[in-house]
Amino acid sequence: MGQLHTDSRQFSDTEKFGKNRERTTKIASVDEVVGLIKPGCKLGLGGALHESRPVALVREVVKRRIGDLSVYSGPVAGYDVDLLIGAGLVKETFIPAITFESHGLAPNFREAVEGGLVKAHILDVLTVVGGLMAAALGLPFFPIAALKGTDEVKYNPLIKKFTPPFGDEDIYAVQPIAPDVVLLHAAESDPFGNIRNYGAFRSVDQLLAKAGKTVIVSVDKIVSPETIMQDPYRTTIPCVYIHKVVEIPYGAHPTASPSIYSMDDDHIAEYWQAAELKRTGRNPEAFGGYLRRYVDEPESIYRYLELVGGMRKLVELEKEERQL
Amino acid sequence: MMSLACKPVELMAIILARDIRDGEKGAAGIAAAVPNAAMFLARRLHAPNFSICGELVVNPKPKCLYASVSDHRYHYGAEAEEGFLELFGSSHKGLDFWFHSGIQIDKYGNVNLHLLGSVERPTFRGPALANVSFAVTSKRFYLYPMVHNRRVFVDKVDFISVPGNLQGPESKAMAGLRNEGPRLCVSPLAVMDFDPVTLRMRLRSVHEGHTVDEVLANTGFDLIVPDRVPITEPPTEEELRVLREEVDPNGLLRSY
Repeated sequence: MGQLHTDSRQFSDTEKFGKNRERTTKIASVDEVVGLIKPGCKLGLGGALHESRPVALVREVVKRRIGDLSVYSGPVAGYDVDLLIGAGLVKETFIPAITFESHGLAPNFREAVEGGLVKAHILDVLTVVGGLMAAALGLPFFPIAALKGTDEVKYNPLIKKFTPPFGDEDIYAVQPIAPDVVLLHAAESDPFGNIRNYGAFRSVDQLLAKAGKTVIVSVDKIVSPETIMQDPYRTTIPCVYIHKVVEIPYGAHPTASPSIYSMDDDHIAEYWQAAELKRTGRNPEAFGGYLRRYVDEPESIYRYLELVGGMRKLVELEKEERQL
Repeated sequence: MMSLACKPVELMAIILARDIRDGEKGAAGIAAAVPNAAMFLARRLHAPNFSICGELVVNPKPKCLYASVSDHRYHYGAEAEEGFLELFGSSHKGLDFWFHSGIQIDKYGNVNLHLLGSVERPTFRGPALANVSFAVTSKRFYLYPMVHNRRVFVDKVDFISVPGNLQGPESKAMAGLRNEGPRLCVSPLAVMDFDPVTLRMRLRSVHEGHTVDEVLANTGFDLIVPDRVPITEPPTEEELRVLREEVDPNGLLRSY
Protein backbone atom coordinates (compact mmCIF):
# COMPACT_ATOMS: atom_id res chain seq x y z
CA MET A 1 0.00 0.00 0.00
CA GLY A 2 3.08 2.22 -0.05
CA GLN A 3 4.51 4.56 2.54
CA LEU A 4 2.03 5.96 4.99
CA HIS A 5 2.44 9.39 6.42
CA THR A 6 3.11 8.30 9.97
CA ASP A 7 5.72 5.56 10.31
CA SER A 8 7.29 4.09 13.43
CA ARG A 9 8.80 7.31 14.70
CA GLN A 10 9.80 7.30 18.31
CA PHE A 11 7.11 8.57 20.58
CA SER A 12 8.11 9.00 24.18
CA ASP A 13 5.77 8.24 27.02
CA THR A 14 5.65 10.86 29.75
CA GLU A 15 7.17 8.45 32.22
CA LYS A 16 10.93 8.32 32.57
CA PHE A 17 12.48 5.05 31.55
CA GLY A 18 15.93 3.66 32.22
CA LYS A 19 18.78 4.50 29.87
CA ASN A 20 18.22 3.11 26.39
CA ARG A 21 14.73 1.95 27.36
CA GLU A 22 11.79 3.09 25.27
CA ARG A 23 8.23 1.93 25.35
CA THR A 24 7.60 0.04 22.12
CA THR A 25 5.05 1.54 19.81
CA LYS A 26 2.46 -0.64 18.14
CA ILE A 27 2.47 1.31 14.91
CA ALA A 28 2.95 -1.13 12.05
CA SER A 29 2.96 -1.10 8.27
CA VAL A 30 0.12 -2.51 6.23
CA ASP A 31 2.42 -5.28 4.94
CA GLU A 32 3.34 -6.23 8.48
CA VAL A 33 -0.23 -6.50 9.74
CA VAL A 34 -1.66 -8.20 6.68
CA GLY A 35 1.14 -10.74 7.04
CA LEU A 36 -0.51 -11.79 10.29
CA ILE A 37 -3.65 -12.88 8.43
CA LYS A 38 -3.21 -16.46 7.27
CA PRO A 39 -5.28 -18.34 4.71
CA GLY A 40 -7.95 -20.45 6.42
CA CYS A 41 -8.05 -18.32 9.55
CA LYS A 42 -11.04 -17.09 11.50
CA LEU A 43 -11.23 -13.42 10.62
CA GLY A 44 -13.32 -11.03 12.73
CA LEU A 45 -14.36 -7.67 11.25
CA GLY A 46 -15.34 -4.75 13.45
CA GLY A 47 -18.08 -2.19 13.02
CA ALA A 48 -21.38 -3.16 11.50
CA LEU A 49 -23.03 -2.76 8.13
CA HIS A 50 -21.54 0.41 6.66
CA GLU A 51 -20.06 1.98 9.75
CA SER A 52 -16.52 1.70 11.16
CA ARG A 53 -15.56 -1.19 8.92
CA PRO A 54 -11.82 -1.88 8.43
CA VAL A 55 -12.22 -1.64 4.67
CA ALA A 56 -8.69 -0.54 3.70
CA LEU A 57 -7.28 -3.60 5.48
CA VAL A 58 -9.92 -5.81 3.85
CA ARG A 59 -8.84 -4.43 0.44
CA GLU A 60 -5.28 -5.51 1.26
CA VAL A 61 -6.52 -9.00 2.14
CA VAL A 62 -8.28 -9.09 -1.21
CA LYS A 63 -5.26 -7.71 -3.06
CA ARG A 64 -3.14 -10.53 -1.66
CA ARG A 65 -5.94 -13.07 -2.22
CA ILE A 66 -5.73 -14.48 1.31
CA GLY A 67 -8.48 -17.06 1.07
CA ASP A 68 -10.38 -19.93 2.67
CA LEU A 69 -11.53 -17.52 5.39
CA SER A 70 -14.15 -18.05 8.07
CA VAL A 71 -15.59 -14.59 8.51
CA TYR A 72 -17.08 -13.20 11.72
CA SER A 73 -18.29 -9.67 12.14
CA GLY A 74 -20.40 -7.20 14.02
CA PRO A 75 -23.97 -8.55 13.73
CA VAL A 76 -24.75 -7.00 10.33
CA ALA A 77 -22.45 -6.65 7.33
CA GLY A 78 -22.60 -5.53 3.74
CA TYR A 79 -20.00 -4.09 1.39
CA ASP A 80 -16.71 -5.47 2.71
CA VAL A 81 -17.92 -9.03 3.31
CA ASP A 82 -19.55 -9.06 -0.13
CA LEU A 83 -16.23 -7.88 -1.60
CA LEU A 84 -14.29 -10.70 0.11
CA ILE A 85 -16.86 -13.22 -1.13
CA GLY A 86 -16.81 -11.79 -4.65
CA ALA A 87 -13.04 -12.28 -4.75
CA GLY A 88 -13.59 -15.95 -3.82
CA LEU A 89 -11.83 -15.71 -0.46
CA VAL A 90 -14.54 -16.84 1.92
CA LYS A 91 -15.35 -20.40 2.96
CA GLU A 92 -18.08 -19.62 5.48
CA THR A 93 -19.74 -16.69 7.24
CA PHE A 94 -20.90 -16.43 10.84
CA ILE A 95 -22.78 -13.17 10.36
CA PRO A 96 -26.49 -12.89 11.19
CA ALA A 97 -27.49 -10.50 8.39
CA ILE A 98 -25.79 -9.42 5.18
CA THR A 99 -27.46 -6.67 3.18
CA PHE A 100 -26.99 -3.44 1.25
CA GLU A 101 -30.24 -2.11 2.73
CA SER A 102 -31.84 0.39 0.36
CA HIS A 103 -29.46 -0.57 -2.48
CA GLY A 104 -30.63 -4.17 -2.39
CA LEU A 105 -29.49 -7.63 -1.35
CA ALA A 106 -25.79 -8.51 -1.22
CA PRO A 107 -25.07 -9.72 -4.78
CA ASN A 108 -21.90 -11.77 -4.33
CA PHE A 109 -23.10 -13.21 -1.04
CA ARG A 110 -26.34 -14.35 -2.64
CA GLU A 111 -24.67 -15.78 -5.71
CA ALA A 112 -22.07 -17.68 -3.69
CA VAL A 113 -24.54 -19.09 -1.16
CA GLU A 114 -27.11 -20.04 -3.81
CA GLY A 115 -24.30 -21.61 -5.86
CA GLY A 116 -23.11 -23.66 -2.89
CA LEU A 117 -19.69 -21.95 -2.80
CA VAL A 118 -20.04 -20.30 0.60
CA LYS A 119 -21.67 -21.70 3.72
CA ALA A 120 -23.70 -18.92 5.34
CA HIS A 121 -24.31 -20.15 8.85
CA ILE A 122 -27.65 -19.24 10.34
CA LEU A 123 -27.33 -17.40 13.62
CA ASP A 124 -28.52 -14.23 15.31
CA VAL A 125 -27.18 -11.20 17.15
CA LEU A 126 -27.48 -12.76 20.60
CA THR A 127 -25.32 -15.66 19.43
CA VAL A 128 -22.69 -13.19 18.20
CA VAL A 129 -22.80 -11.03 21.32
CA GLY A 130 -23.01 -14.02 23.66
CA GLY A 131 -20.15 -15.79 21.87
CA LEU A 132 -17.99 -12.68 22.00
CA MET A 133 -18.90 -12.16 25.66
CA ALA A 134 -17.86 -15.73 26.48
CA ALA A 135 -14.50 -15.21 24.75
CA ALA A 136 -14.03 -11.70 26.16
CA LEU A 137 -14.88 -12.75 29.70
CA GLY A 138 -12.93 -16.01 29.61
CA LEU A 139 -16.00 -18.20 30.05
CA PRO A 140 -16.66 -21.59 28.41
CA PHE A 141 -20.10 -20.43 27.20
CA PHE A 142 -22.66 -17.69 27.58
CA PRO A 143 -26.38 -18.35 28.13
CA ILE A 144 -29.14 -17.17 25.78
CA ALA A 145 -32.76 -17.47 26.90
CA ALA A 146 -34.55 -15.50 24.18
CA LEU A 147 -34.53 -17.96 21.26
CA LYS A 148 -38.04 -19.35 20.88
CA GLY A 149 -40.04 -20.58 17.94
CA THR A 150 -37.40 -19.77 15.35
CA ASP A 151 -36.02 -22.34 12.91
CA GLU A 152 -32.61 -20.75 13.49
CA VAL A 153 -32.02 -22.97 16.52
CA LYS A 154 -32.13 -26.09 14.31
CA TYR A 155 -29.18 -24.88 12.24
CA ASN A 156 -27.11 -22.48 14.39
CA PRO A 157 -23.77 -24.34 14.77
CA LEU A 158 -22.58 -22.34 17.78
CA ILE A 159 -25.39 -23.05 20.25
CA LYS A 160 -26.59 -26.03 22.28
CA LYS A 161 -29.71 -26.45 24.37
CA PHE A 162 -29.19 -27.17 28.05
CA THR A 163 -31.04 -27.35 31.35
CA PRO A 164 -29.75 -24.52 33.50
CA PRO A 165 -29.32 -24.92 37.28
CA PHE A 166 -31.76 -22.06 37.89
CA GLY A 167 -35.07 -21.22 36.23
CA ASP A 168 -37.62 -23.67 34.87
CA GLU A 169 -36.96 -23.68 31.13
CA ASP A 170 -34.26 -25.17 28.94
CA ILE A 171 -32.18 -22.44 27.34
CA TYR A 172 -29.19 -22.25 24.98
CA ALA A 173 -25.47 -21.99 25.55
CA VAL A 174 -23.33 -20.31 22.93
CA GLN A 175 -19.68 -21.29 22.61
CA PRO A 176 -16.94 -18.62 22.71
CA ILE A 177 -16.27 -16.73 19.49
CA ALA A 178 -12.55 -16.04 19.43
CA PRO A 179 -11.36 -15.01 15.95
CA ASP A 180 -7.69 -15.64 15.12
CA VAL A 181 -7.38 -12.11 13.82
CA VAL A 182 -9.69 -9.18 14.49
CA LEU A 183 -9.57 -6.14 12.21
CA LEU A 184 -11.08 -2.92 13.53
CA HIS A 185 -11.27 0.63 12.26
CA ALA A 186 -11.28 3.53 14.69
CA ALA A 187 -10.96 7.29 14.52
CA GLU A 188 -7.83 7.68 16.64
CA SER A 189 -5.17 5.86 18.56
CA ASP A 190 -1.97 6.82 20.27
CA PRO A 191 1.18 4.93 19.22
CA PHE A 192 0.64 2.39 22.00
CA GLY A 193 -2.81 1.32 20.84
CA ASN A 194 -5.08 3.32 23.12
CA ILE A 195 -8.10 3.56 20.87
CA ARG A 196 -10.88 6.09 20.54
CA ASN A 197 -13.73 4.91 18.42
CA TYR A 198 -17.12 6.44 17.98
CA GLY A 199 -20.44 5.51 16.53
CA ALA A 200 -23.30 3.16 17.23
CA PHE A 201 -21.30 -0.04 17.02
CA ARG A 202 -18.26 0.77 19.07
CA SER A 203 -19.38 -1.64 21.75
CA VAL A 204 -19.09 -4.56 19.34
CA ASP A 205 -15.54 -3.42 18.61
CA GLN A 206 -14.86 -3.36 22.33
CA LEU A 207 -16.06 -6.96 22.57
CA LEU A 208 -14.17 -8.09 19.45
CA ALA A 209 -10.96 -6.55 20.80
CA LYS A 210 -11.28 -8.63 23.96
CA ALA A 211 -12.38 -11.79 22.15
CA GLY A 212 -9.81 -11.90 19.34
CA LYS A 213 -6.41 -13.59 19.55
CA THR A 214 -4.63 -10.92 17.47
CA VAL A 215 -6.22 -7.49 17.24
CA ILE A 216 -5.24 -5.02 14.51
CA VAL A 217 -6.72 -1.54 14.29
CA SER A 218 -6.60 0.86 11.38
CA VAL A 219 -7.08 4.46 12.47
CA ASP A 220 -7.75 7.62 10.53
CA LYS A 221 -5.22 9.42 12.69
CA ILE A 222 -2.45 8.65 15.18
CA VAL A 223 -2.58 11.12 18.05
CA SER A 224 0.01 11.81 20.74
CA PRO A 225 0.05 9.93 24.05
CA GLU A 226 -0.58 13.30 25.73
CA THR A 227 -3.83 13.68 23.79
CA ILE A 228 -5.06 10.35 25.14
CA MET A 229 -3.93 11.07 28.69
CA GLN A 230 -5.69 14.42 28.77
CA ASP A 231 -9.01 12.60 28.60
CA PRO A 232 -8.76 8.89 29.47
CA TYR A 233 -12.56 8.67 29.69
CA ARG A 234 -12.66 8.87 25.93
CA THR A 235 -10.41 5.84 25.46
CA THR A 236 -12.82 3.15 24.31
CA ILE A 237 -10.34 0.27 23.95
CA PRO A 238 -7.20 0.36 26.11
CA CYS A 239 -3.82 -0.57 24.64
CA VAL A 240 -3.64 -3.88 26.51
CA TYR A 241 -6.08 -5.47 24.05
CA ILE A 242 -4.41 -4.14 20.90
CA HIS A 243 -1.53 -5.74 19.05
CA LYS A 244 -0.95 -3.48 16.06
CA VAL A 245 -2.10 -0.06 14.91
CA VAL A 246 -1.94 1.11 11.30
CA GLU A 247 -2.60 4.68 10.30
CA ILE A 248 -4.72 4.71 7.16
CA PRO A 249 -6.50 8.00 6.50
CA TYR A 250 -10.08 7.36 5.37
CA GLY A 251 -9.37 3.70 6.07
CA ALA A 252 -13.07 2.92 6.53
CA HIS A 253 -14.13 4.34 3.15
CA PRO A 254 -16.70 3.74 1.65
CA THR A 255 -18.14 2.98 5.08
CA ALA A 256 -18.32 5.71 7.71
CA SER A 257 -15.83 6.64 10.38
CA PRO A 258 -18.22 8.26 12.87
CA SER A 259 -17.16 11.73 13.98
CA ILE A 260 -14.98 12.14 10.86
CA TYR A 261 -16.77 11.12 7.65
CA SER A 262 -20.09 9.63 6.63
CA MET A 263 -20.54 6.56 4.46
CA ASP A 264 -20.10 7.07 0.72
CA ASP A 265 -23.47 5.92 -0.57
CA ASP A 266 -22.51 6.73 -4.18
CA HIS A 267 -19.52 4.42 -4.07
CA ILE A 268 -21.48 1.66 -2.35
CA ALA A 269 -24.10 2.01 -5.11
CA GLU A 270 -21.36 1.78 -7.78
CA TYR A 271 -20.06 -1.40 -6.17
CA TRP A 272 -23.54 -2.86 -5.86
CA GLN A 273 -24.29 -2.18 -9.52
CA ALA A 274 -21.07 -3.89 -10.62
CA ALA A 275 -21.66 -6.93 -8.43
CA GLU A 276 -25.34 -7.17 -9.41
CA LEU A 277 -24.50 -6.92 -13.13
CA LYS A 278 -22.17 -9.88 -12.69
CA ARG A 279 -24.68 -11.87 -10.63
CA THR A 280 -27.47 -11.44 -13.14
CA GLY A 281 -25.13 -12.18 -16.05
CA ARG A 282 -25.93 -8.86 -17.71
CA ASN A 283 -22.27 -7.92 -17.53
CA PRO A 284 -20.07 -10.74 -16.22
CA GLU A 285 -16.99 -8.48 -16.37
CA ALA A 286 -18.38 -5.68 -14.24
CA PHE A 287 -17.28 -6.97 -10.88
CA GLY A 288 -13.81 -7.94 -12.11
CA GLY A 289 -13.51 -4.41 -13.42
CA TYR A 290 -14.38 -3.03 -10.01
CA LEU A 291 -11.78 -5.26 -8.33
CA ARG A 292 -9.04 -4.20 -10.73
CA ARG A 293 -9.85 -0.52 -10.55
CA TYR A 294 -10.31 -0.09 -6.81
CA VAL A 295 -8.44 -2.98 -5.20
CA ASP A 296 -5.69 -4.44 -7.36
CA GLU A 297 -4.35 -1.49 -9.29
CA PRO A 298 -4.14 1.38 -6.76
CA GLU A 299 -0.59 1.28 -5.40
CA SER A 300 -1.43 3.36 -2.35
CA ILE A 301 -4.33 4.54 -0.21
CA TYR A 302 -3.83 7.97 -1.79
CA ARG A 303 -4.34 6.62 -5.29
CA TYR A 304 -7.46 4.81 -4.10
CA LEU A 305 -8.82 7.99 -2.53
CA GLU A 306 -8.23 9.87 -5.81
CA LEU A 307 -10.12 7.16 -7.70
CA VAL A 308 -13.16 7.37 -5.44
CA GLY A 309 -13.47 11.12 -5.90
CA GLY A 310 -10.47 12.70 -4.23
CA MET A 311 -10.53 15.73 -1.95
CA ARG A 312 -13.86 16.96 -3.26
CA LYS A 313 -15.61 13.73 -2.28
CA LEU A 314 -13.83 13.40 1.04
CA VAL A 315 -14.64 16.96 2.06
CA GLU A 316 -18.26 16.31 1.11
CA LEU A 317 -18.36 13.22 3.35
CA GLU A 318 -16.74 15.14 6.20
CA LYS A 319 -19.26 17.94 5.82
CA GLU A 320 -22.07 15.47 5.88
CA GLU A 321 -20.69 14.01 9.09
CA ARG A 322 -20.62 17.46 10.67
CA GLN A 323 -24.16 18.01 9.36
CA LEU A 324 -23.17 20.99 7.24
CA MET B 1 -59.53 14.35 5.49
CA MET B 2 -57.56 14.43 2.33
CA SER B 3 -58.28 12.14 -0.49
CA LEU B 4 -54.95 11.30 -1.32
CA ALA B 5 -52.14 11.08 -3.53
CA CYS B 6 -49.99 9.60 -0.88
CA LYS B 7 -47.58 6.75 -1.49
CA PRO B 8 -48.64 3.33 -0.13
CA VAL B 9 -45.54 3.22 2.09
CA GLU B 10 -46.45 6.61 3.55
CA LEU B 11 -49.91 5.30 4.37
CA MET B 12 -48.32 2.21 5.94
CA ALA B 13 -46.19 4.42 8.21
CA ILE B 14 -49.24 6.47 9.21
CA ILE B 15 -51.34 3.38 10.03
CA LEU B 16 -48.55 1.92 12.16
CA ALA B 17 -48.03 5.25 13.94
CA ARG B 18 -51.68 5.31 15.02
CA ASP B 19 -51.26 2.07 16.99
CA ILE B 20 -48.31 3.32 19.08
CA ARG B 21 -49.40 4.50 22.56
CA ASP B 22 -47.90 7.26 24.65
CA GLY B 23 -45.40 6.03 27.22
CA GLU B 24 -44.47 2.86 25.34
CA LYS B 25 -41.03 1.60 24.35
CA GLY B 26 -40.23 0.21 20.94
CA ALA B 27 -37.69 0.04 18.13
CA ALA B 28 -36.98 -1.31 14.67
CA GLY B 29 -33.89 -2.76 13.04
CA ILE B 30 -32.14 -2.34 9.72
CA ALA B 31 -33.84 -1.62 6.39
CA ALA B 32 -36.72 -0.13 8.36
CA ALA B 33 -37.70 3.20 6.81
CA VAL B 34 -41.43 2.56 7.28
CA PRO B 35 -41.37 1.68 11.01
CA ASN B 36 -38.83 4.43 11.69
CA ALA B 37 -41.19 6.92 10.08
CA ALA B 38 -44.10 5.46 12.09
CA MET B 39 -42.26 5.89 15.38
CA PHE B 40 -41.14 9.47 14.71
CA LEU B 41 -44.62 10.33 13.53
CA ALA B 42 -46.27 8.85 16.64
CA ARG B 43 -43.91 10.75 18.89
CA ARG B 44 -44.73 14.03 17.18
CA LEU B 45 -48.47 13.51 16.86
CA HIS B 46 -49.77 11.79 19.97
CA ALA B 47 -47.07 9.95 21.93
CA PRO B 48 -44.50 12.44 23.25
CA ASN B 49 -43.50 9.99 25.99
CA PHE B 50 -42.97 7.08 23.61
CA SER B 51 -39.28 6.12 23.71
CA ILE B 52 -37.25 4.51 20.96
CA CYS B 53 -34.78 2.30 22.80
CA GLY B 54 -33.35 -1.19 23.10
CA GLU B 55 -31.43 -1.14 19.83
CA LEU B 56 -28.28 0.76 20.93
CA VAL B 57 -29.70 4.26 20.51
CA VAL B 58 -32.12 6.02 22.87
CA ASN B 59 -34.53 8.57 21.41
CA PRO B 60 -32.74 9.58 18.22
CA LYS B 61 -33.93 12.82 16.63
CA PRO B 62 -32.53 12.79 13.11
CA LYS B 63 -33.17 15.74 10.83
CA CYS B 64 -34.49 13.48 8.12
CA LEU B 65 -35.55 9.85 7.72
CA TYR B 66 -32.95 7.11 7.43
CA ALA B 67 -33.69 3.50 6.57
CA SER B 68 -31.79 2.00 9.41
CA VAL B 69 -30.86 2.34 13.05
CA SER B 70 -27.46 1.14 11.94
CA ASP B 71 -27.01 4.29 9.90
CA HIS B 72 -25.13 6.34 12.45
CA ARG B 73 -26.52 9.58 10.97
CA TYR B 74 -29.82 8.39 12.39
CA HIS B 75 -28.28 8.80 15.84
CA TYR B 76 -27.85 12.57 15.62
CA GLY B 77 -29.40 14.36 18.54
CA ALA B 78 -30.05 11.11 20.38
CA GLU B 79 -30.30 11.19 24.14
CA ALA B 80 -27.98 8.25 24.77
CA GLU B 81 -26.03 5.46 23.15
CA GLU B 82 -26.02 2.01 24.68
CA GLY B 83 -23.85 -1.00 24.00
CA PHE B 84 -24.38 -4.65 23.16
CA LEU B 85 -24.64 -5.51 26.85
CA GLU B 86 -27.82 -3.43 26.99
CA LEU B 87 -29.00 -4.82 23.65
CA PHE B 88 -28.54 -8.33 25.01
CA GLY B 89 -30.64 -7.37 28.04
CA SER B 90 -33.35 -5.58 26.08
CA SER B 91 -33.62 -8.55 23.74
CA HIS B 92 -34.33 -10.82 26.70
CA LYS B 93 -36.62 -8.50 28.64
CA GLY B 94 -38.46 -7.23 25.56
CA LEU B 95 -40.01 -3.92 24.61
CA ASP B 96 -43.64 -3.00 24.06
CA PHE B 97 -43.37 -3.62 20.32
CA TRP B 98 -41.13 -4.40 17.39
CA PHE B 99 -41.49 -4.50 13.59
CA HIS B 100 -40.71 -6.98 10.83
CA SER B 101 -40.91 -7.01 7.09
CA GLY B 102 -40.48 -10.34 5.31
CA ILE B 103 -39.60 -12.10 2.08
CA GLN B 104 -42.41 -14.47 3.06
CA ILE B 105 -45.22 -14.06 5.60
CA ASP B 106 -47.73 -16.82 6.18
CA LYS B 107 -51.30 -17.09 7.39
CA TYR B 108 -50.18 -17.30 11.02
CA GLY B 109 -47.92 -14.28 10.72
CA ASN B 110 -44.68 -16.27 10.73
CA VAL B 111 -41.86 -14.36 9.07
CA ASN B 112 -39.16 -15.61 6.71
CA LEU B 113 -36.22 -13.35 5.99
CA HIS B 114 -33.62 -16.07 5.47
CA LEU B 115 -34.13 -18.16 2.36
CA LEU B 116 -36.34 -19.96 -0.14
CA GLY B 117 -35.95 -23.66 -0.77
CA SER B 118 -33.74 -25.75 1.48
CA VAL B 119 -31.30 -24.53 4.11
CA GLU B 120 -28.54 -26.68 2.60
CA ARG B 121 -28.89 -25.25 -0.88
CA PRO B 122 -31.34 -22.33 -1.02
CA THR B 123 -32.73 -21.23 -4.36
CA PHE B 124 -32.77 -17.71 -2.91
CA ARG B 125 -30.73 -16.44 0.01
CA GLY B 126 -32.20 -13.34 1.63
CA PRO B 127 -30.57 -10.79 3.88
CA ALA B 128 -31.76 -12.64 7.02
CA LEU B 129 -31.88 -10.55 10.14
CA ALA B 130 -29.86 -9.94 13.27
CA ASN B 131 -32.41 -10.05 16.05
CA VAL B 132 -34.90 -12.92 16.09
CA SER B 133 -35.81 -12.31 19.74
CA PHE B 134 -37.34 -8.86 20.01
CA ALA B 135 -40.60 -9.89 18.32
CA VAL B 136 -40.91 -12.81 20.73
CA THR B 137 -39.94 -11.08 23.97
CA SER B 138 -41.78 -7.82 23.22
CA LYS B 139 -45.46 -7.54 24.03
CA ARG B 140 -46.48 -7.41 20.37
CA PHE B 141 -45.06 -6.84 16.92
CA TYR B 142 -46.12 -5.42 13.58
CA LEU B 143 -45.64 -6.78 10.09
CA TYR B 144 -44.98 -4.35 7.24
CA PRO B 145 -44.40 -6.25 3.98
CA MET B 146 -43.25 -3.78 1.31
CA VAL B 147 -45.02 -5.80 -1.40
CA HIS B 148 -48.38 -7.56 -1.30
CA ASN B 149 -48.39 -10.52 -3.66
CA ARG B 150 -48.56 -14.31 -3.62
CA ARG B 151 -44.81 -14.68 -3.38
CA VAL B 152 -44.78 -12.79 -0.07
CA PHE B 153 -48.16 -13.88 1.36
CA VAL B 154 -47.72 -17.66 1.36
CA ASP B 155 -49.61 -20.49 3.04
CA LYS B 156 -46.51 -21.64 4.92
CA VAL B 157 -43.10 -19.98 5.07
CA ASP B 158 -40.09 -22.00 3.87
CA PHE B 159 -38.17 -21.01 7.01
CA ILE B 160 -39.38 -19.48 10.25
CA SER B 161 -36.92 -16.69 10.95
CA VAL B 162 -39.27 -15.11 13.46
CA PRO B 163 -42.30 -16.94 14.81
CA GLY B 164 -45.69 -15.30 14.56
CA ASN B 165 -48.42 -17.60 15.81
CA LEU B 166 -46.56 -20.71 14.53
CA GLN B 167 -49.28 -23.23 13.51
CA GLY B 168 -51.96 -21.84 15.84
CA PRO B 169 -52.69 -21.53 19.56
CA GLU B 170 -51.44 -24.95 20.64
CA SER B 171 -48.08 -24.78 18.88
CA LYS B 172 -47.61 -21.21 20.04
CA ALA B 173 -48.09 -22.22 23.68
CA MET B 174 -45.86 -25.30 23.25
CA ALA B 175 -43.02 -23.11 22.00
CA GLY B 176 -43.28 -20.89 25.07
CA LEU B 177 -44.51 -17.88 23.10
CA ARG B 178 -46.54 -16.08 25.73
CA ASN B 179 -46.89 -12.62 24.23
CA GLU B 180 -49.46 -11.30 21.81
CA GLY B 181 -47.23 -11.87 18.78
CA PRO B 182 -48.17 -10.20 15.50
CA ARG B 183 -50.92 -7.60 15.98
CA LEU B 184 -51.24 -5.97 12.59
CA CYS B 185 -49.93 -6.71 9.14
CA VAL B 186 -49.92 -3.49 7.16
CA SER B 187 -49.27 -3.96 3.45
CA PRO B 188 -49.42 -1.60 0.47
CA LEU B 189 -52.96 -2.89 -0.21
CA ALA B 190 -54.62 -3.51 3.13
CA VAL B 191 -54.53 -3.85 6.89
CA MET B 192 -54.78 -7.34 8.36
CA ASP B 193 -55.09 -8.48 11.97
CA PHE B 194 -55.32 -11.94 13.53
CA ASP B 195 -58.46 -13.86 14.49
CA PRO B 196 -58.33 -14.22 18.29
CA VAL B 197 -59.46 -17.86 18.24
CA THR B 198 -57.55 -19.42 15.35
CA LEU B 199 -54.71 -16.84 15.36
CA ARG B 200 -54.98 -16.76 11.56
CA MET B 201 -54.65 -13.62 9.49
CA ARG B 202 -57.88 -11.72 8.88
CA LEU B 203 -58.62 -8.80 6.61
CA ARG B 204 -59.41 -5.65 8.57
CA SER B 205 -59.54 -2.86 6.01
CA VAL B 206 -58.60 -2.22 2.41
CA HIS B 207 -56.75 0.93 1.36
CA GLU B 208 -58.55 3.49 -0.77
CA GLY B 209 -58.30 2.60 -4.45
CA HIS B 210 -58.05 -1.15 -3.80
CA THR B 211 -60.65 -3.93 -3.42
CA VAL B 212 -61.15 -7.05 -1.36
CA ASP B 213 -60.91 -9.13 -4.52
CA GLU B 214 -57.58 -7.55 -5.39
CA VAL B 215 -56.25 -8.37 -1.91
CA LEU B 216 -57.47 -11.97 -2.17
CA ALA B 217 -56.01 -12.36 -5.65
CA ASN B 218 -52.65 -11.29 -4.29
CA THR B 219 -52.73 -13.43 -1.15
CA GLY B 220 -51.51 -17.01 -1.41
CA PHE B 221 -53.64 -18.39 1.41
CA ASP B 222 -57.18 -18.43 2.68
CA LEU B 223 -57.41 -14.99 4.27
CA ILE B 224 -60.28 -14.62 6.73
CA VAL B 225 -62.68 -12.01 5.32
CA PRO B 226 -65.33 -10.57 7.66
CA ASP B 227 -68.79 -9.65 6.35
CA ARG B 228 -67.95 -5.99 6.28
CA VAL B 229 -64.51 -4.74 5.24
CA PRO B 230 -64.15 -0.96 5.56
CA ILE B 231 -61.83 1.32 3.66
CA THR B 232 -58.66 2.05 5.65
CA GLU B 233 -59.06 5.39 7.36
CA PRO B 234 -57.15 7.73 5.07
CA PRO B 235 -54.36 9.98 6.35
CA THR B 236 -55.45 13.23 7.90
CA GLU B 237 -54.00 16.44 6.59
CA GLU B 238 -52.04 16.75 9.83
CA GLU B 239 -50.60 13.21 9.62
CA LEU B 240 -49.43 13.70 6.09
CA ARG B 241 -48.05 17.18 6.72
CA VAL B 242 -45.99 16.11 9.76
CA LEU B 243 -44.78 13.00 7.93
CA ARG B 244 -43.62 14.96 4.88
CA GLU B 245 -42.43 18.17 6.47
CA GLU B 246 -40.94 17.00 9.74
CA VAL B 247 -40.24 13.27 9.66
CA ASP B 248 -39.26 12.67 6.04
CA PRO B 249 -38.39 16.04 4.50
CA ASN B 250 -36.00 14.39 2.03
CA GLY B 251 -38.75 12.16 0.68
CA LEU B 252 -37.15 8.78 1.40
CA LEU B 253 -40.56 7.11 1.57
CA ARG B 254 -41.77 8.85 -1.58
CA SER B 255 -38.75 7.38 -3.40
CA TYR B 256 -39.88 3.78 -2.73
